[in-house]
Order: sequence, then C-alpha cells, then structure tokens
Amino acid sequence: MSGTKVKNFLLNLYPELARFQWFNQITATVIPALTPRLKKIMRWSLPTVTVLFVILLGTAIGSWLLGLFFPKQVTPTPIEFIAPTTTPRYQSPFLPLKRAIEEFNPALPEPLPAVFDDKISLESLEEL
Amino acid sequence: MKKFFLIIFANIFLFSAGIVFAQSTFLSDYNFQLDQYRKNYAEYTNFKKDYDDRPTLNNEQKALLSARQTIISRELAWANFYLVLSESISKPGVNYPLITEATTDLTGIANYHFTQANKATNIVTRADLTNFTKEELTVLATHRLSLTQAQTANKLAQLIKFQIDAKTAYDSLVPKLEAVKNDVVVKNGLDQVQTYSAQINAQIEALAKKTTDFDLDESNQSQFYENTSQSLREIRGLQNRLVTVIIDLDTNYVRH
Repeated sequence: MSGTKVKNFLLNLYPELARFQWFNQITATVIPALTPRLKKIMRWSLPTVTVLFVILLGTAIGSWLLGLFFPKQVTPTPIEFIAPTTTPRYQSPFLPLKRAIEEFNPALPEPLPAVFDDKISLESLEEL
Repeated sequence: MKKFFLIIFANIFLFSAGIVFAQSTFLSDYNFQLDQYRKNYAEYTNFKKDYDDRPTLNNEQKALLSARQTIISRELAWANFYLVLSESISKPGVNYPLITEATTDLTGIANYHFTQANKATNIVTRADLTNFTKEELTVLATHRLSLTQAQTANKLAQLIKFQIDAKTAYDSLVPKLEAVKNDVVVKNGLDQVQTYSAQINAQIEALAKKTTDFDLDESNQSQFYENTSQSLREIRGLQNRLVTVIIDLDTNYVRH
C-alpha cells in the first residue's frame, strides 16, 4: 500500500518518470516484495544510514577544507642517536691518593702568619 | 623518666661539644686573637698618636694600657699560630727526624709566646714596655729559622704520607699480580715503581737535609723558599707518576 503511495508521490513530483520502462518494472517488482517486516526495517535503517552518511561525508569534506587552510604538520627527522662511550666499571681504590697528590700545594711560605707589629713602644725605635 | 631524658640530653650536648672542640681549637683561637689584635692595634695607634702630639701623663697612660692589650693579643695570636702549624705537621702521623724536630720547636715557641702574654700583664711603665719589646725583638729573630724549617716540614710531612700510602698500595698490589708477573708490561711497571720510589726517597732526604742545614744568616730566605718549592714540585710530579703506574697495574692487570 505504502509502496503505491511512494510511486504515486514520485510520479506526481516527476511525471517524466512514467516514460521510463525500468521505473515501471522496478515499481512492479519491488513494491509487492516489500513485506511488513522489511518495511519496518527500512523505515528505521534508511534514515539512520542517511544521517550517518551525511555526518561522515561532512567530516571528510571538513578535513579536506581544513588541509587547504593550515599547513601540513612537519615531523622532524629523528636525531641521530650517539651511543655513550663505555667507561671501565672498575675504579681503583688508589684514585683518591692520586687526587690528593695532584691537589698538594708546593708553594712556600705557607701557612703565612699575619703581619704583627713587633716594635710596640712609646719611645723612638732608634733609642732602643 | 625525667632523669632518663636528662641523661640523653647531657650526652647529646657533650657529644656536640666534643665535635665542635675537635674542629681545631688552635685555629679558632688564632682567628679570635688576630681579631682582638687588629682591634687593639688600631686603638693603640690612635692613642700613640695622641701621646706623640701631646705627651701628657694621661695620654701616656692610655697609650701604655692600649699597648699592653695589643701585646697580649699579639702574643696569644702568635702562640696559637705556631700550634696550628704544629698540629698541621703532626696530622699525617709521620715519624721523621725533621718533622719531630719541627713540632718540638713549635711547641717551645708557642709556650714562649704564652709566657710573654702573661709577662705583658706586668707592663706598667714606659720603661717596662721598652724593655719588653727590646727582649722580644732579640728572641723573635731566632724564631724565624724555626718557622721556615717548620713550614718546609709541614709540606714534607704530607709528601712522606703520600709515599707511605703509595708503599701500602704497592704492597697490596704485588701478590695480586703473581699470575701475570712475567708479562713484559707488568714487569716494566713494577720496575718503574721501584725506580720512582728510590728517586722520591732520595729527593725527600736531600730536601730534609737542606732544610736542617739551612742557615738564615748566610742564605737568602726567599731564595730558599723558591728552591724548596721547586723541589716539592718535582717530588709531587714523581709521586704522581708512581701512583699512575700503580693504578694502571691495578686496573688493567689485576683480576677483579
């Protein structure tokens, strides 16, 4: 019943369709094949698929348009990895002695006393 | 319970006081007396100037008292300086004739200055001050030689300690090299250690002799310091090479 309604609606909208043989064939074949169960499925699935299709199409078009206005993200080439030089694990217990020798100060005079006045007197030094 | 806490607190206090005391009392006393001396000396200079400008009894008394205080702090600073040096020489714990001599001399000189600090408290008149300074100047001249020798002994004590430590290192290393003792490099290394050791010992001995024989009246002090510094530098260089060989043998030829 509803199939006939759709056919009438389409013919009303596009009268030229009546001229096409295949239209009459499809409507003659498809309309009687639409069982109530199939109709129920189509009633819900068609709008759902249409909505999903529109969303996906919109997203795809949006991404493409975005690519036109923003430059592509540049990913730098990875920095060359330099392997650290391997140092021997063993540390000699005599290294602190070597360090102490290197830090030894050979300068003389050291320690140097402060400068003191050893001639404290109320009389002239020449008189002493 | 209270007693228990009291004992704990007392122990903590005594322990921390011990640590503070262990941080060279002599150095701390020397710095304190040096500060006192500088303060007193500035005051003395002013009073002496006043006295020189206007030699009144009042000005003389002020200058005299200030001079006495300055001398006391000076003597105590000197005494502590010698004790600091003596402590530094004894620190490595080396038993060597020059070092023993130096520490004995320094203790004697420090005691002399402590006595002088006490003696200075008796300065009352201008004549007392003059006599004190006169006597002090003659004695101080004899201390110069001991100070020069002690400064060298202080450096030698450190180098001898390095030599003792190097010998201990060598002695602990030799048994570990038993398995590779015929290896040419190991053999050369051990020979080098022996050679360096002999050279260092000879140079230390020569420097110690030179220091003991040093005569301040006949030689130039700054020339002595310069030559001694050069010798110390050479000994340090040899010790550095010696320890480098020991470390090389230990790192590369001993199985760890």
